[in-house]
Amino acid sequence: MKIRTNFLIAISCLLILSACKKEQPAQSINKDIQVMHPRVIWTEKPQEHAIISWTSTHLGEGNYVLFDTIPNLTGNTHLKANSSKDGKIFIRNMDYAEGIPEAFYHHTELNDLMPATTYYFKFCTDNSCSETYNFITAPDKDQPYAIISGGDSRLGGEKPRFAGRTPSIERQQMNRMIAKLTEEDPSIIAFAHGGDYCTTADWRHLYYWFEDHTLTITKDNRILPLIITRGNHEHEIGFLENFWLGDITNEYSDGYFFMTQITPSSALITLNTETSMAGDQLEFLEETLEKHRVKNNWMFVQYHKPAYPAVKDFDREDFYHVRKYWVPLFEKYKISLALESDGHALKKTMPILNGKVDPDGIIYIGEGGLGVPQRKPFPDRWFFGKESIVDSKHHLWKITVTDSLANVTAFGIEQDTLHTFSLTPKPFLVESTAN
Amino acid sequence: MKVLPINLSLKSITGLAQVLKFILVLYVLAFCLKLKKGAVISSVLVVENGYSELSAFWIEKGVAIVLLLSLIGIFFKVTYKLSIWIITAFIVGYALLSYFNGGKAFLELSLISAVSKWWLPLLTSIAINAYYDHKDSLNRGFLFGIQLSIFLIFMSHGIGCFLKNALYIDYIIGFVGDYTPFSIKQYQAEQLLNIIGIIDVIVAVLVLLKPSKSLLYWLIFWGFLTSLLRIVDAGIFNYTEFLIRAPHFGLPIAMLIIWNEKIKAKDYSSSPSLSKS
Repeated sequence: MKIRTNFLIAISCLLILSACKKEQPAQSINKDIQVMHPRVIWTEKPQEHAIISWTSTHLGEGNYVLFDTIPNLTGNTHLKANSSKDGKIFIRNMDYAEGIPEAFYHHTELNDLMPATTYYFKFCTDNSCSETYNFITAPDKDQPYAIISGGDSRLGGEKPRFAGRTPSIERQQMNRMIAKLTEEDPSIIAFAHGGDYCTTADWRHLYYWFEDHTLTITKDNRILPLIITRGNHEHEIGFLENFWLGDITNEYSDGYFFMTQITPSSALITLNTETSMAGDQLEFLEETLEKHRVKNNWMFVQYHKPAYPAVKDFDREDFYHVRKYWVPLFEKYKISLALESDGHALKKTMPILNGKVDPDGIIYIGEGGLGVPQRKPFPDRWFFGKESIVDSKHHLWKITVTDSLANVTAFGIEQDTLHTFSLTPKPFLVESTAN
Repeated sequence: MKVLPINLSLKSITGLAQVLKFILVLYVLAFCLKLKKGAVISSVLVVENGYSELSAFWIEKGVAIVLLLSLIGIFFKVTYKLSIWIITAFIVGYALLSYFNGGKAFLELSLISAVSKWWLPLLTSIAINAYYDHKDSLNRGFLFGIQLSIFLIFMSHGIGCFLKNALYIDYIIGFVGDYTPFSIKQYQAEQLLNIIGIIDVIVAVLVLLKPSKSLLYWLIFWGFLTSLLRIVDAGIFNYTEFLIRAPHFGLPIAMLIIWNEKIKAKDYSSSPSLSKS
C-alpha cells in the first residue's frame, strides 16, 4: 500500500506542477500595432451579413471595421462596426519554440448589408488600420454565380520538419490560383473550404495558413468570403478562436453546422463530421431539408469526412456514420451534390442511390487537394466508374450555377482542367417525401 | 522500500501468462491490421516529411511485419524478451506519433488511454518469465501495474463521457434506435453519458484503492460491452477497434486471477481449522 500511496502522491505532484507551470513570458511589446490576416466569413444570410476577422499583435482598446460601398474610407461618411469578439490566441510552448509571435483575434459582424453589393472595408486595432479590402455580398435575386470548393490545405511553417516543403509551395500555388480564377471570373462569390486547414489548429500552424490565405486576395484587394467546414484537424481551441461564426440564428452555432442561402433558390448546407452526427445535427439536417429543399432549386451539402472515401478504409466507423445517418436524408430530399474532403485525392463518384450506382443518385465530389500531399486513391471501388474521376492530384472544384444547369469543373494546380461535368436540378416535390 | 510479493499457484501463473499474452496478441494484431489499411505512420511520412507514398507504404508494412514477427516471438523462450521490447517501443512511439499528428478529438484522453497500455508488454514479460522459471510469487508492483492501467483506461473513458464525446453520443443514439423500439434525443444521451461517466470514474478510483471481486466482474463486463459496441454499431468490419480495446476487459480478467488467489490465501490463513493445525 505504501508504494501505491507514494506513487499516487508523486503523480499528483507532477500534475499540480505541470498545471502551475507558467507558459513562456510574453515577448517584448512592440509599440507598433500590426493588423493582418484579413478574412471574410459567410454564415446563413450572406445577402445582409458577413463577419470580418483579423489578427493583431496587440489586443488594443478599440477594435472596429470601417466600411462603405465606396472605396474611399477616409472621410466621415463611412460606417463603423465595433468588434464582437476579441481575445488572445492560445499559444503552446511548441508555438513559442517555432518562433511564432503572440497574437490576438478579432471578429466584427457587419449587419444590414445590401445584397449583390461591393463593400469596401478596413479593420483597425486602436489607430492601426489595414489597407482597404472589398468583398461582394450575395445576391437576393436568382442570377448565375460560382463558388470554389476544396479542402485539406494542411502544412506550412518554417521548420525542416516539413521536409523542404516550406513555404508550402502547393498550398500557396493553389491560393494564387484562387485569386486568379476570381479575377478572371467575377461571378465567383465564395470559397467553401471543406476543412483540415492545417495539421492542428494551434497557432504555429494557423499562423501560416492565414499568411498563405492572403494569397487568395485579388489584385484589386477583393476577398472571397469563406464558408467554413470543421475538419478532423480542427479540434484545438485555436479553431474556435479564429473561425468564429457569430450570432447565427439557430441554436447550433457552436456546432459548426448551418445553411447558407446563397441565392433565393440556391443553398449550401455545411455539416460537421467532428461532432455528433446522429443527435442534434441530424435533426437540424432533416428540419432544414424539409423546410428549405422545396424552394431551393439547388441544394449543395459540404462536410469533411467522406461517405464514399476514395483513399481511406470504406468501413471506418466515421465514414459509416455519414452513410448511416446523413446519406438517407440526402437521398430522400434529393440534394444536388455532396462536397467532401479528408482523403487527399481527387474524386467524383458515380451517382449513388441506396448504396448502389444509380443514374438518379447523388454524386459525391472531393476529396481534398488544396495543397496537402496527395495520396493514391483506389479507383476499383464500386462507386467509381466510367463517368467518374479518381486521381492523385492537387485540385479545387469550381461550381458554376445557373437556373437550369450547374457546371462543375476540377482545376489542377496549373489551372488545368482535370474533369468537368454538368448537373441539372433534381425535381423535388413535397409529395415525393410523403411517398 | 520493501515490496511484498504476491503468492500464486503455478496454475494461476500459467493462467496469468496466457491471459496477458492473449490480450497483447489481440492488441498488437489490431495495430498490424491498422497499419495494413494505412495509418498514422504513412500519414506523417507522406504529409509532413515529404516521403513518397510508395516508400511510406513499405515502411508502414515493414513495421507491421516486424510487429507480427515480434508477436510470434513472444511464444518462444529465446525470443520473448526481445519481442516484448520491440512491441513496447512500437506502442510508445505510435501513441506519441498519433498525439503529435493531431486529427482526432480528445487527443489528450486518447494519449492517456494509450499510456495505460505502455507497460502491458512488460507485465506480460514478467508473467511469462515467472511461468518459465516456475515461480510461485510475483512482485506486488506487478499487481499495481495492472491496477494503474485499469484506472487510466476507465478514468479516461469517464472523462470522455463528461466531455460529451460525440462518438459515445452516437453509439447511444444508434444503439437505442437500432435495437429498441424507442429513440432518444441528444440531450438524453448526454444525460446518460454523465451517469456512465460518474460510474466509470468511481470504478476507476475503486480499482486502485479498494478493489473487490464484484468490481472486477463489472469491469470485465463493461470493458467488453463498450469494446463490442464498436462492432455492434459499425459492423464486423470495424473489428480492429474492438481488438485494440482487448486490454479494457482483458486486464480486469488478469487482475481477477490474482485476486482469486489472494482471497484463497486470506481464507486459508484466517481459517480456524488451518490455524489450529
